[in-house]
Amino acid sequence: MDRQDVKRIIIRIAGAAVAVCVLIAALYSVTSLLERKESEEKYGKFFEHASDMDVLFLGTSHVLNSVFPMELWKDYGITSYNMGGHANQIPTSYWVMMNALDYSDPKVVVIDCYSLASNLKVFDDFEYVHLSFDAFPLSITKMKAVNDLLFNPGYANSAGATGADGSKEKHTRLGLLWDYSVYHSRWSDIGQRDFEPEFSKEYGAESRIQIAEPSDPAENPGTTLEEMTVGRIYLEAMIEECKSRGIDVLLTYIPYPVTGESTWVDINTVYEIAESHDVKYLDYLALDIVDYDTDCYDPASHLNPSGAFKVTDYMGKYLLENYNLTDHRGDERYAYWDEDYNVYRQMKDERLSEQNDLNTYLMLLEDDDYGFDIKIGDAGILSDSTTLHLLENKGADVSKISADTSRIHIDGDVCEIENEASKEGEDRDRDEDPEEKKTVVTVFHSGNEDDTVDVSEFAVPYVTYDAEGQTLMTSVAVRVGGEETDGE
Amino acid sequence: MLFNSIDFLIFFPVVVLIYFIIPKKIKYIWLLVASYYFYMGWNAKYAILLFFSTFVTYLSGVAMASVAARGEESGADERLVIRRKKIIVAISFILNLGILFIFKYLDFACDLLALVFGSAGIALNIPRFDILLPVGISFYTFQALSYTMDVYRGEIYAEKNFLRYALYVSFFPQLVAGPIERSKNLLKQLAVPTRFDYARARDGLYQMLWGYFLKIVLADRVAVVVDAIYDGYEIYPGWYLIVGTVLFAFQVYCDFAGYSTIAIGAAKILGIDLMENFNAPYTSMSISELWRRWHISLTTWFRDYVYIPLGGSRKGRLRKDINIMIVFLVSGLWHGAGMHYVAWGGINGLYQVIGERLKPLRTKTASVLRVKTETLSFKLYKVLATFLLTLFSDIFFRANDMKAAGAIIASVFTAHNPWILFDGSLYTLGLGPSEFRFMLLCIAVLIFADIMKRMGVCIRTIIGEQGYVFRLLVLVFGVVFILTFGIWGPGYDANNFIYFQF
Repeated sequence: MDRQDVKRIIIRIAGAAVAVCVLIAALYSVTSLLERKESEEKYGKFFEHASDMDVLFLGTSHVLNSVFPMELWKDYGITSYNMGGHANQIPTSYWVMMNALDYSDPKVVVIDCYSLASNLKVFDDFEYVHLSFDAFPLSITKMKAVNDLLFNPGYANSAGATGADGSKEKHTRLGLLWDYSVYHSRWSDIGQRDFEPEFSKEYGAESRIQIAEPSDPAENPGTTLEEMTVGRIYLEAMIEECKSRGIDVLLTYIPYPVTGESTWVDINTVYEIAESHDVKYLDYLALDIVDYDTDCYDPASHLNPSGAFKVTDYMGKYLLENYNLTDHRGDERYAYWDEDYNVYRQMKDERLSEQNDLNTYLMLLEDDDYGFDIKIGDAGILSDSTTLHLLENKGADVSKISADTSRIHIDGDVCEIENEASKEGEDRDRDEDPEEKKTVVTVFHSGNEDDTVDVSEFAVPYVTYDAEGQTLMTSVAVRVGGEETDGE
Repeated sequence: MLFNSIDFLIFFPVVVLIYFIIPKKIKYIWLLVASYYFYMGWNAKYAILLFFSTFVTYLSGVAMASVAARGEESGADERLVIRRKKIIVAISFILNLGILFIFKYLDFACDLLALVFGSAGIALNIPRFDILLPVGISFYTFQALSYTMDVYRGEIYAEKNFLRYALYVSFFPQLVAGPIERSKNLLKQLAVPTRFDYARARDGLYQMLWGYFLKIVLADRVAVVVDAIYDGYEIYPGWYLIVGTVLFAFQVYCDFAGYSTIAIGAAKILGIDLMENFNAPYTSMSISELWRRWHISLTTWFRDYVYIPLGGSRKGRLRKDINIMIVFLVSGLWHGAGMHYVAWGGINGLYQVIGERLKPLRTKTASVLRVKTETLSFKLYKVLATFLLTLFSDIFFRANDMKAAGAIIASVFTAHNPWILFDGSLYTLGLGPSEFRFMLLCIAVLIFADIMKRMGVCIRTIIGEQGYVFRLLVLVFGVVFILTFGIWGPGYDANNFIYFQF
């Protein structure tokens, strides 16, 4: 072989190498473009400021809906991220934590212990698994995670989800490690979000906005788990891993109306685990923090923002009292947290005008960032028990509220209730100018009445009277000009 | 192992790399190991059948060579030698076709028997055997048998090296879906491995890319609509079935040609030239021409080993027609164990027989009417007419059975619903509007490429002559295009991301 041949071979090999590099670069670009953006949006802010996180929250959607890092920043200067995931089994949370710890070095990891009794490693609907893992770059940790979660995952059907709305995706390592293999068919769904993903303003949390009637909770049998479940094994592994890295662990159980005795067994078991590993356990179900009548998003699982504000506030106090955390407010290095908080606050402000009924509106105002002034046009709204309950939770003395109440003003500890006696012979509920029947709520940022956030009008769409002219039924007050809701 | 699988995309480069590194003397052994590994990816047990077929046909070659050599030495009567050779060929055919019969046609034969006896009033209770059809058995059996015949005819030497012969039968690029190679072509090339040739490897790679486009971008996408229509023919009448049949014509072409093209490209990278299997078949201007351009390896196999031994066209017109019918009926049966496949084959045979008989009439008519038969418009008419005839026979090929085929034909000619072409109904068959239009665009690209091929323009060659940057862009674009638009991967459902329950 002469020099010319050698030269030709080298050029050919170099040409092939360049081709491979260009191909990889091209595939990387299309992977990023076609990837579903939910995961990137969920973790975007985490990756931007991973090294600044003092606290990470892990668990299922219970955590997602109930812990608001931005509130922790505002009230306590705690830097944190909500790493909860929909349907995250404890082993899944373990691997979310392990991947997160490749980028972050928190002081405390808070783990919600829901699904302790489960032997599933990963939920069999992979849409959720993608949500929890897609945003993590390919790494040894991610490969270990995928390998472990798909080895004896614990579900019966390995070919696909069994749920009615389940994903049709086959459960493969390739699908999780190179999600382009799943998402390449999205080419016909590309939209603006694929070019300009919007990072989570709630720092990983997800508000669920609705008020549901809670289910009746079950009695606590007082027993604990007898078997060593997969959930328990991985929870203990999480604790040991954190300890080995010098990270404090707080176990918790986010509150909701517990309707199953088996769940109580889990909750009781966490005490044993906490004691045996010498870590703290914040059992919300042993505390009287939330009000299920106003704070449930659904009858027996998730909290709405009203409940979340309470859970978050208590969490903030507990963390500062029990762990060596720094209040970073005022620190210039953390100025971006204030910027992000303002964006978050604006999101909260804007969502108020999206709420169609008065109770949901008031539920969102169970936020110490807001005060409000209600001019009541129709006393009918005060016959709704949930409305009264929400006002009471906000600080109103409901014993002073009656059919004559014309104005309620609440701002922090200040509560003013004005009554206007009805004119003799006049029936305030009948034949009045609809404009006067409107209830106007003016919302402002707490402590500053001039800083108006929103002004919304609500009205009771209909009232039914019996033969004696007495009110029989009043529907929930709805936004004037908005959609009607059903009656009670 | 499927061509369109991650396993193959790892397997193939490794095989190629090692092939060109190891010494010439053991290259074929490496390919043999790789080929069996490739085949056993489906079902390891059926490699025994592959081995059996290999062994029997290998022995047949060796035995015939031995008979010939001994005959020459002893000066035996040539007719005796030929008779002995015929016996060896017969044994080889019986054993191999016997295996094929058991695994592919036993249940069909039993059903047919039950039907025949049933019509005579005798109820037969024959158990079903439910034997899994070994992948590729129709292909490698024919390939192995062609060797036996070629040795008998003296067209190829008897291969003494069993391992090299085993590679001829099991050569992985063409093992499971053709082209069905001839010993004269493949065996000789395997005996003389070539050095790595960059330009040839590049050409092979482009061919593989085109094959993947045909298979996973086009065929698998078209299949979604075709399956919906044909599997639900009762609720998709009339024009749905017309659309489904037209699409099926492209599906079967792209699926088959795609696989063949990948096989040819893969072999080319290894320095082996396999025969062309599809040559722009839908540009044909007659059914006869179609069968010279469609599944060429099978058509020529039947020509050389069935049609010609039966006498071909040498024994009179009627005999020729009968021979054509036999070939196509058997060809239909080869494609599948079902009466509708036989019907499909028979129809194609009839097309040619009748076409040939009517040729003088057609020529006369064209002359009387002063039709300009050399014009583009007339050629297009012939292409279209050929395509329409193909579509009709394709109904039998795609339908699940004769009853379904009959119902579909009746529906095509009686149901009246052309509006479905315009009111968006076509987007409800598994592919949304973007996907459906994209599919049509890809079919247009295919038609363009085939027209170019018909005109003697090889797009691949043109690309190969361009500069490095252009070729690089074509390669990168091709790979990214196929991976993005191809039907592969664990699956994705755009409608699902409903996680608020959890």
